Amino acid sequence: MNESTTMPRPAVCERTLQLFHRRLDGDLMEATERQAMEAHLTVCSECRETTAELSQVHDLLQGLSEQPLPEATLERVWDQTIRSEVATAESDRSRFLDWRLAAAAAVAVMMFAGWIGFASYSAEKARKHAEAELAAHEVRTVLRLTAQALERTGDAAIKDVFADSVSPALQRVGVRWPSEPRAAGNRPGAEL
Amino acid sequence: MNGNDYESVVWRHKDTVHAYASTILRNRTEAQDVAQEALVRLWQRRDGVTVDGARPWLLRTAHNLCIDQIRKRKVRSEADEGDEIVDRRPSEGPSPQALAESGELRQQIDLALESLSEEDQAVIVMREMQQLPYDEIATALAVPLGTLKARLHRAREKLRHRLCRAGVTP
Repeated sequence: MNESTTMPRPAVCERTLQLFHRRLDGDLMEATERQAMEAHLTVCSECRETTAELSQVHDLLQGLSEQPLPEATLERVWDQTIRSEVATAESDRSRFLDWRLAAAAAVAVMMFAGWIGFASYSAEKARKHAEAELAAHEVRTVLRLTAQALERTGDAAIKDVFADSVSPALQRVGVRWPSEPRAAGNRPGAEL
Repeated sequence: MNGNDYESVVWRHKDTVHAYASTILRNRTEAQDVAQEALVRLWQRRDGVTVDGARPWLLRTAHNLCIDQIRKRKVRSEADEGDEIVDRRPSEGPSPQALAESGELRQQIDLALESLSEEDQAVIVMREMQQLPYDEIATALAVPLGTLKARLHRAREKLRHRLCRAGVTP
């Protein structure tokens, strides 16, 4: 092991190690840079040792990070991501269906209520119509009976006025029934 | 990024994210939680992340979550912390082959990594262990490319020094 890392390196060693790091990084180097590095490594044992150790550490670390994610953890990831969204979408769709069902139910209720109202209205209208018909019939009957009564009353009145019960009185005041012959001595202006 | 893109991104990068968190945290449960949280957050912000930008985004998120987790540990009591953190005390001078055979090599590397700063650990894990492209690492860690490379070189030197001291490298 090269313990000189705690001490400042000569500039040429520092430069060589920087170039070596670049090689490990996979960077392309100029031909002159690569030749300078290799030339120094042939003459500097410390840099040779250091670069050998760096290469070894570099190789050791390669591929050491094989750590598959456990299946149970992956399942939890799916639960919290894609599956969660699917469940949410299904819930949204279910809510949408529920909404549609509720809307359909509301429309059905409204239609039913409308029908009931219409039926009630129709029944009321029919009832009122029947009542009106009845009332009209009754009115007509009353009118007819009234007319008959009036007619009868009129006839009676005429009879009362012009019949025997009245005529004598008229006759007493000089009014004569037109068909009756004019009595002698009566004034002409007293005729009906 | 739509649902199908997200699913393919998760399949492609889940192990990288988990490996990063495992290496930084060295705690199985915490690493799984961080990976899960990073992947779920990607889903929540998928509209603002492209498929090509998903890996650096995930690594940046995982890195920040790891830093948060490490800070939480520091304020936790000794009794609460590290029940799953393995004993990483180095053994006395084993060979790399012996370490590899006994399964201690990873522990030695983890121990050396743990001695680095969080930023140095991040760049070592992303570049040296996961071989991610520099531009992705620079994006994930929000640093310029030049700064990233300088940090990587410095972190390599520190890691080499610690692994040599632990006897992992001859």
